Amino acid sequence: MQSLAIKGGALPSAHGKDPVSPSVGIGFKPVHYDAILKTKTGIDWLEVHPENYMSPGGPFMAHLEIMAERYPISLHAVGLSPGSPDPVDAVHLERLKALVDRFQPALVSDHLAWSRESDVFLPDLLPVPYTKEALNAVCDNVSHIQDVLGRQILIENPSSYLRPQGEEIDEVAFLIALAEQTGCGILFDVNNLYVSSENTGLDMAAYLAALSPEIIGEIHLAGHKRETSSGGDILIDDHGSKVRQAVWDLYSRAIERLGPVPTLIEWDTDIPELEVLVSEAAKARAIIEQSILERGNEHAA
Amino acid sequence: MKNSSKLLSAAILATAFTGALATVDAAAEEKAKMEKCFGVAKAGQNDCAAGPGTSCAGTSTVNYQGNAWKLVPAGTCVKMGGSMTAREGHKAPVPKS
Amino acid sequence: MNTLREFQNAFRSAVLSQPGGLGEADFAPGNVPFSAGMAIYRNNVFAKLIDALGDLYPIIKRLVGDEFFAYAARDFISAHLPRSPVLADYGDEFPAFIEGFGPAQSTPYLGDMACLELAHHQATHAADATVLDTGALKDVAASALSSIRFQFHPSCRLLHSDYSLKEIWQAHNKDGDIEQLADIAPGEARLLILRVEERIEMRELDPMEFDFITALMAGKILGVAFEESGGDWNPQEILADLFGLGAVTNINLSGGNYG
Repeated sequence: MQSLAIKGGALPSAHGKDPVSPSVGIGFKPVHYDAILKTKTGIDWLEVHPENYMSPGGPFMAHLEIMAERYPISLHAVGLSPGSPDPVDAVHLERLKALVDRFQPALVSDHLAWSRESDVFLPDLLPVPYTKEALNAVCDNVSHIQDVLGRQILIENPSSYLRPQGEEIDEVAFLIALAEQTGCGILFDVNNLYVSSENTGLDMAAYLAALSPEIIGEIHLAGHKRETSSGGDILIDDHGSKVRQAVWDLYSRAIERLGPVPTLIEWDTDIPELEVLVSEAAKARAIIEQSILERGNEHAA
Repeated sequence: MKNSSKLLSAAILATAFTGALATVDAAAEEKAKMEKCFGVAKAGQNDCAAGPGTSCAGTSTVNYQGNAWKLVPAGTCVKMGGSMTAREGHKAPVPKS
Repeated sequence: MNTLREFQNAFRSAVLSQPGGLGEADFAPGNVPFSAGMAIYRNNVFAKLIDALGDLYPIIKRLVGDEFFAYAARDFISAHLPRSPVLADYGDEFPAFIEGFGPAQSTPYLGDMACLELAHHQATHAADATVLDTGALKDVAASALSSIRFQFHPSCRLLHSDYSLKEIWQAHNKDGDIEQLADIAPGEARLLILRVEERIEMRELDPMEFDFITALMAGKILGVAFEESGGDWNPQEILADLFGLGAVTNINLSGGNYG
């Protein structure tokens, strides 16, 4: 078994080098490029999907270079398909490695999901059945990714709409076993847990209680959409609105339990002005600061 | 090509080359017959969010192919009327790199 | 329980509405009915690909309208599933597809316009290259001139069409006037597309210039390329533009490189 401590996940904070100070980031969108250059955002880091930056050259690559001069970068992959029974696509992994070598990201992550079946790539994060067979496959793939990249990666809990019949392991137990066996960290998406809980009945309190601070390298927050139909509500993880109050509440509990985990605001559809993302990030920062304060008080008491 | 015309084109080329270099020095960009095209702020093409978030729009058992024959283009191309008729010997171009 | 491979293979079939796909019995009862849940995954896959094609071919989308475009894109996607997670690499077979797409036959220039949009896309993402320092060229002896080769910027693309692509393009630009579409006269297009700094530019070419650059881009030496384009016209303007725009990144003499 490897060490569970998060390695290479150190993200600077805009508010000093104190290891317990909050660190908040936003997903970087090309539409915000000019605004970010002109604004004192107060943001500590930016996250991008590496699959959007695998071109030989051109303005998008140049813009990411310029962003990387100003902010630490997190590479959040969507295409490694660690949940496939097949080994990770070697060509894609090499392209990711080239980006990792070039940008020296503070964090690298992908999802507990699959998107490649045989030679076809389906651009979505599809559900992995939580079985022993799948755990072995994901462990093999994550270990291989870490070996090739020469660093730890984080794996994110997915948002679920359907769960396969005959699963053998809880989602959170699956993730913890994955972290224990490979030394990877967990990217805890609080919105995904909320969405999956409503859609498939995951027990959020038990999930949160099972997670321990040492294996959490990053937290994601995003908005979701509630679709109401005669059969009942369905939550869609569309990253297209502000974080819902119920998700903020869950986030507060998570920070209370897990400590000041670097937190990212994701927004991918109907992208608003930069200041909206910045103010969502400020909200996350305030929650972390409050939690640090309360911990300090407990210590003093 | 005959030798005399070969010499002639070499001479044209030499004069043009020298002239071109001189023009470049004198801000050739303004002289270029360029058309500015769309900017580069195209959105990134991978997001790990769901799509537009609709779970009921044209999915499930809808067979798009079955209806396609009824469709006619409905965008701006209808404004072009018959002015864009195929020429004889029309071939699809292939971008050369 | 299926093996992981069987499960994912059948899941893929279900997402693509192909036979042999997973059904209700393959999933645990939850708050989301099977058909609704599978529809979300299916919609995610297709919506992302339709959007990616719409980003790559915005003018085609405006020419045919959103609804028609979505139909065409769905047909295309079913026949050309992505092989890579990099969506910028997806969709280069779309020009040939739309050219042969039955319901689009009333609009014969779509294939050519899609070629132009693909050229823009490829030029946007092409490798960077240092622009040639033209100062170094002044030393090239007149006698050596005919046998030099041009090395072009990786973004350079040439395109010839029997339709007035440039005018149709302009009408769909941000500042373009779509109302003028009806007045666009039939005509050909010969274009050089390339990236200049962060912009994509198009330069119209006359037939001689087009033949000249075609030969140069094929690696022919300057003298041969000029003769193949007629050899009796003045190439000064096009040479100045090639240098001025940074289309030429290096010059190969028989003995070595400049720049």
